[in-house]
Amino acid sequence: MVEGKSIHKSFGPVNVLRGIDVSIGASEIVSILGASGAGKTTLLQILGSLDHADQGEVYINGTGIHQLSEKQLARFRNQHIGFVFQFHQLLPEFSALENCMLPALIGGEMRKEAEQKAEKLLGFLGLSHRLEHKPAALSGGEKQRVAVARALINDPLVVFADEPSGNLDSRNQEELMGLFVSLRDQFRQTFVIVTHDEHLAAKSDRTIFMRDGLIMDQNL
Amino acid sequence: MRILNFIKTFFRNILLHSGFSLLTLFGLSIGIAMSLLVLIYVYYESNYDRHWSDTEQIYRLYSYGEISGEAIRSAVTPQPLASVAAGSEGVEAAARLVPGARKLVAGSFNRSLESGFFYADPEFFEIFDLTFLEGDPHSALRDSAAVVLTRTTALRLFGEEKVKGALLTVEDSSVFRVSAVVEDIPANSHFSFDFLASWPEVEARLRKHPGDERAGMIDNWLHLNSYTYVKVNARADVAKLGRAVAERTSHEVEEQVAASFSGRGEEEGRIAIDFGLQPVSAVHLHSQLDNEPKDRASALYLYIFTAIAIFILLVTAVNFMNLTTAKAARRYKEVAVRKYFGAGRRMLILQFLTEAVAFSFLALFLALVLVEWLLPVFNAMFQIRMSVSGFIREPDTIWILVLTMSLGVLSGSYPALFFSGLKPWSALTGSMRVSRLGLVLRGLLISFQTSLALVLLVLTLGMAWQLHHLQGTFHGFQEDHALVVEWGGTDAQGLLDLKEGLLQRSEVAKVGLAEFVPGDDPTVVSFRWEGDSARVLLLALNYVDEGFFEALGAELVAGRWSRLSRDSSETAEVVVSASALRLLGQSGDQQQFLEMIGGRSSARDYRFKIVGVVADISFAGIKEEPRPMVFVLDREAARSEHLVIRLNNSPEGDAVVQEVWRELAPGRAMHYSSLEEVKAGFYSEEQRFARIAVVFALLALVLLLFGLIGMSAFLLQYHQKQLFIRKVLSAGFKDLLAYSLRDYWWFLGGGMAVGLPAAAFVLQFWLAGFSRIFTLPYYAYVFPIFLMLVLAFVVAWITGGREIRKVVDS
Repeated sequence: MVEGKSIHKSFGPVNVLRGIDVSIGASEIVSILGASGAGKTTLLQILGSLDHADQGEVYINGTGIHQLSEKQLARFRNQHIGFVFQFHQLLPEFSALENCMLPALIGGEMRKEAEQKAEKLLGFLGLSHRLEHKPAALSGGEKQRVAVARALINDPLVVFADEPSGNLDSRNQEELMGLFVSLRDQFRQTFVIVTHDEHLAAKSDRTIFMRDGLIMDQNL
Repeated sequence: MRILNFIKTFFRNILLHSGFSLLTLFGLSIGIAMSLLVLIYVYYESNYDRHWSDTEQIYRLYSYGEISGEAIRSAVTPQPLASVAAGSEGVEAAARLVPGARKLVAGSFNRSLESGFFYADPEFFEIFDLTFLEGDPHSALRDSAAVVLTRTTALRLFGEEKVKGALLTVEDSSVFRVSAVVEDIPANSHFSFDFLASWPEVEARLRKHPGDERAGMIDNWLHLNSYTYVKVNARADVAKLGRAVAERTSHEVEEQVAASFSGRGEEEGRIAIDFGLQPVSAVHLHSQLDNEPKDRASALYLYIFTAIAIFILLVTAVNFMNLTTAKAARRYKEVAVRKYFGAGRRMLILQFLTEAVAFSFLALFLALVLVEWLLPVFNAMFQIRMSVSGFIREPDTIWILVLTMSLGVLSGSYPALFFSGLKPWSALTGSMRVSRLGLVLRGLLISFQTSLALVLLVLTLGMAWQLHHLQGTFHGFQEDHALVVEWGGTDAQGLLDLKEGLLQRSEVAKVGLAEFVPGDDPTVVSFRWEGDSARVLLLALNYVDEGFFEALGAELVAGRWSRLSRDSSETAEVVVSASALRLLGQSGDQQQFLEMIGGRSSARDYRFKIVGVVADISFAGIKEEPRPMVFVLDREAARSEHLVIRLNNSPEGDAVVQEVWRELAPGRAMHYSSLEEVKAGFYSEEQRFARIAVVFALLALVLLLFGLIGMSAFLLQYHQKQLFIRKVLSAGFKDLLAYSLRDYWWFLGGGMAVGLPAAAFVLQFWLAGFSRIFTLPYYAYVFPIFLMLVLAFVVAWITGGREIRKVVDS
């Protein structure tokens, strides 16, 4: 599903990624674990088409995204990639439903269809009663579930999550991971999760350990 | 659909950050409103005479040439010129328009002294297509003693609009029949009238006076007294027409000149008059002629105003950019999220431009409300008649929309490029920042705004200072306790009786009579001086009585006041002004004789002995050099149209004059003004410009206020990270405030340093038009600087203080 070949990335004199080869299969939950500065987030940005590698290739479902133009990348990202962030990053002026619909609307989908899809997704995530609430009125766990729904609205091939549980208490962390597993099981959804949390990583299908811009180890 | 979503997002953002959004919106609205007011004014002024059908085919003939080395360029032409023009190739119609004197006019409802009485040829309405409420343009001026009224005049004199056929009594002696009623002349026309009487009436009136020079006007090529208009056909070659008119008139003029000098054994050729054509639409802004029927405007002022309007919009746009990006942090997350989920740069640019354009249109709506509300004040202040509806109805209205759209695009361009260029992850963490260049550019704009505000404030103070001192200067008359009363040109005996009646009252000190009083534009007449009989002198001629100078409070410089001789064989005595004497090149103690050129009457009316010299009496203010003038004694008040009344220092003075007037001139409306008002009126144009400068100065301060708010907010954002670091290092509130806003003070100071010499230069430029200049004291430069510093400090304290407190308390 996601394949990175010999990825190199430098910021000035600092080599952040020094030849990463990584492969993530469909319906797999993969955690990327490592200390600060290991290059996890940079790898996620490159795999998620948000940044270019200085060297190397990235394929998602067979498409070489390193060959796409900015415009094509934006389109590809909209249609095939979802993101979940540490601080949910919901837009405060929009309701839960509207936040969830956002990627569909960006993709040019009709409002009514986007609404129906968002309602269905939020219902699946147990938020039917919170559709019209603004983020300020939601709990931390609810916000993160809305963020997950937003990531899923366009039926992405893969969801990249950057420290998704970093801002949650342990109960909500457990629930979030359970949700990822449930989505993998029911919808064959692929997840790539960057985290510091070994406990959370342990629940994924596979964990990739990074240090100093290199993959040190992979646990199955 | 997507645009609608952007607009929805825009409104939600406004609601979410209502305080700051309202501030931004208010700033944008004020900028647009002020630009609109300026543009409406520019539009109004530049559209003079464009409301006539076929206005591009209408031309006015003018006179130019020289008399004794003095150049003449006058809007008025000799009366015979129209018939020559009418017979020229390419001319569809030609007509004369002649202003009449003030007249006492009576309708069935009211009776008043009217100054808008004009005469015109029947073809006038073939050239100028006024809207007829009653009557027919083809026949309105055909009959003798026919008069056309404007709607307002009909209402004023008859109490109704439908008055065709009604009789109008003029000066209690002649009667006109109303042949038509037309809509009021559009205010932005280069002429205006309330009454338009038929031309045969003019001739009949002139021929009533065969003994004086007025009869000679009818066929005299050297008397310039009527406006001549032509309408040419669409294919006419105007240059060729001009040449044809010149060819056909040169012979006539030469003959007339020869006739004037004939039998005197004097050389000819010192008078040369020719005629040119100018488009009627160019008169108001581009005519450089004397004797215009209405005040002109300077095209230069309009260019300046247009530049100011554009500048206001530019500043408004940049203030908007500053205010938008100053609070950028709140949009970072949105931009990042949209980018994460596939929004391309183009989409984000479109979003921010849509928001800015929507903001502009919202501001436009508020601005239009503001303009509608301010326009009456604006009209009253600048003595014009502008309306938003008139402006909006024009097809050019599309330019308002284009302008607003452009303003939106311009205002939104920087935020659009700025936000759309953000890297999503750095936007999400808020770790991005504006380049130093961006900071400097914004700062320079604040400097520029500061300079401009300083220039306008100093200019305003300089104008006030100059006008105050000008009005305090002696103008050749004592303006306190003196009244000028209009009488009109008829009933000389009534005027003399009134004078006598007034002099009986203890509250009245002196009474004088005159044809022209300060504020009037005296007729200029050609004289010959016996010391150099071949030299022609252009002198303003005023008929006055023996009491005029004392009533006016004039100052005798040399000789004595003239006296009326009972012996008709004696040469009439005249007093000349000091500038007239300088023109003669003689000192006051020599006996001089003047002779009026072009007379047909006896020598007594045309040959004068100079017996005294009066200090120059200003008729139009002392901005320019005084006009040389000759004061001829008026026999039995035959030409006097005004009374000058000097009152004793009594509070009942005005009331007494009115009482005597009612008693001796019953039924006649009294129009009077104090000499103080007359003197103030000399500088009304400068006062008007000064008021405009005040408005712009205040506006510049308001815009500067928004600029300062935007700049301080931006600097706080720009230095945010540093502020937190310094706070950790124990920096206090004052240290943090001083650190974050140090650039703010630098840019403000820079603006002042540039603005100060610029202000002095602009003020000198304005003052260059005055013959007397009063130097502005230094504190007039210091005060605006102090004012701006206080303003800047308050803004820094309020906006900066609040943000710094947040940092300190965090």
